[in-house]
Amino acid sequence: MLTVAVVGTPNVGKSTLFNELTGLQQRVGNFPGVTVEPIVGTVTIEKSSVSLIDLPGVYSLSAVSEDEQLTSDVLRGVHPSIPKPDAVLLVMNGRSPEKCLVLYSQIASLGLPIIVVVTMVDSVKAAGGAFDDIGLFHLLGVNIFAVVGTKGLGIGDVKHALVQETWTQPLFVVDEKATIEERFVWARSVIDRVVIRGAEDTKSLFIDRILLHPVWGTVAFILIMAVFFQSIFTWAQPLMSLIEDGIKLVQISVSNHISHPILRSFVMKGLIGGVGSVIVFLPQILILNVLITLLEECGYLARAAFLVDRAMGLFGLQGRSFIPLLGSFACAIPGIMSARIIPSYRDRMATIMATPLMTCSARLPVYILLIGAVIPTSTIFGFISVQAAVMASLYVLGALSGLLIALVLKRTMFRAGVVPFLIEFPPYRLPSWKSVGITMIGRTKDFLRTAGTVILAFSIGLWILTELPRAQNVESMQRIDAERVQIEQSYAADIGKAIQPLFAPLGFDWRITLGVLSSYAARETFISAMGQIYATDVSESDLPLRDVLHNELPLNVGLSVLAFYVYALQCVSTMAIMKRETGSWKWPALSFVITFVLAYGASLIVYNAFG
Amino acid sequence: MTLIQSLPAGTSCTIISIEGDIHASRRARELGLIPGAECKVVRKSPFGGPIEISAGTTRLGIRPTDGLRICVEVLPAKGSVAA
Repeated sequence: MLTVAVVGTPNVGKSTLFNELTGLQQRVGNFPGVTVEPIVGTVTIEKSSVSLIDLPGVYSLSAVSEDEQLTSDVLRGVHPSIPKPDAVLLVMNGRSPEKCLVLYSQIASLGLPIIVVVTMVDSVKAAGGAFDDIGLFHLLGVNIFAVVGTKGLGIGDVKHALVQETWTQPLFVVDEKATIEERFVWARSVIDRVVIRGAEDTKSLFIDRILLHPVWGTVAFILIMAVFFQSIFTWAQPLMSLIEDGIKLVQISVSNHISHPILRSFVMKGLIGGVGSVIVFLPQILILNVLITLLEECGYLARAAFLVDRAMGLFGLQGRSFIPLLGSFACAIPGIMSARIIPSYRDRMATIMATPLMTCSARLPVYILLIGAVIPTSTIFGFISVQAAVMASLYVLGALSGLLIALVLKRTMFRAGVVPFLIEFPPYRLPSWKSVGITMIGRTKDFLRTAGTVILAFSIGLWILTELPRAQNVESMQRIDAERVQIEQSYAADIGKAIQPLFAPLGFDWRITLGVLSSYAARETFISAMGQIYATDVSESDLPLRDVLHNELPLNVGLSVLAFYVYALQCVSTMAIMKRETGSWKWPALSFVITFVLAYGASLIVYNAFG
Repeated sequence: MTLIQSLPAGTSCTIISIEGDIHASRRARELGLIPGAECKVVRKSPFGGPIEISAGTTRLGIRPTDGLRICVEVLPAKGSVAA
């Protein structure tokens, strides 16, 4: 099957076009040793198919970032695992074709056949301009297709062309060794002959007078982010409860059908419970991704990055870093996945290393339980609740520490190769819902694949530790007592008791150590684990457990555990995603070590300070 | 020799040279900031934050640092007589 590379400068509507062409016939390309995984898709018309590979947007073949290097290497045919494509589909923005023509002039000298798809021709016409695609065909010698990607117009012609094209080599346009300046001269001469510029895009200029205003722009940014953040939690909540209920139903029906106790526990807790505890976050992940895609497609993301660039610069990061960091307050998994929008490899890595310290929603139930148990319900100055103040300071502590880690990494490991912040403002436009939908389905499949493989393996491992060896003679006991006996004699308890001396300086007894250890499956597991260890039923409400902990935990131990949860990377799913997005276990391992050292240090200080 | 970030918002200018980090200056040229090109400082953000530049149909946000020095010559404002 013929492979066609889809190439274009950023913001030309390339991903919308790719989604329109391939629909759901796409997946993340499985190429060994590639951290930036390009999407591959298939176009099929009347039984003939063409494979499309969506390469990251570039301005030229001289790469600045890792993503751009991939595009450049693949097109030159020097990439170690992705074969050289047979042809190129170049996406050109009809409103602003200059930079696309400069890119075209470089690709034309690679010896690959090309077709050019011109997007946004409708907005050229709406502005009173014109685009002479036949004239362009005569100048370039390759087929030109005008489309309106967001409305699907002209897509059928492109599909037919892809499968039936008698691919033609482009005409000679500029010398292979031409400078950027010479290429711009050529591009302008082409534009003078085939484009009549319409009126200026005053709509975008007008919107930006508000959205980029130092004061009103900041107010709008805060409002948009508040809605963004709020919707991740409120819209996701009903869906998450639905999934939780569904998982419980499956668990109950399974437990009724499997009589063998070990097998039943394995299926219920190891398989369904373990993977289920991560799948619960799917709604948050999807909503976060939909919102980011919408903000990106409508053109706001570039403006938001511009607005926060100064503040992020204080921590050695750049404007685009705020989206992954913000998303990580819901869950670090989508946060790390959204770090793909950062073009600079070093900035992306520094951002990813900061994400696990943003207080994710799985920490929240642990904070609520422990704060309720150990912090008095009094107020400061008569109106600020001490409990609320502690909660807020935990959020601030996590966020600041994460940003400081990024700063330190940017000053040390990621020092060289500065990519100064340069971002293009695309015109505002309405996003294509179809394209957003297709992207979402792709992300879901992607996430479920990870949940079904790496996360499943980890959850089976944790089941073995907590449920084996089986306790004897527990059939006659109450369920709660049976679970307590089971966990007290599991391998995890052995490990908990064995490494408890390590945690003794933090004030953790073996039971808290065990609870902390069990959190490595997912942080909220701490609650059910503490419930089992203290033999308190937590299924109805957390109140009995809170009262037990209130009597069991002194203030300094409670604060010490809280400090530990602020820092520790206790989430195997986050580490699995980190590995996938960075292509190496080195980064999750480094993050684990850094956060463990910080967690241990913070707990030690807090335990002794309040002792 | 004037650096572009020293100009007040609304000033039009011609680019004389782009210096600094090899990657950044190349990226700036690829975005259309080439010597001889006319561009305009559209707005500046407070506290030394990024500035917005327009060149032709392209609008850009740039963080002015030592890594990227864009030297420009100010064009006389439209409608005014050059002194």
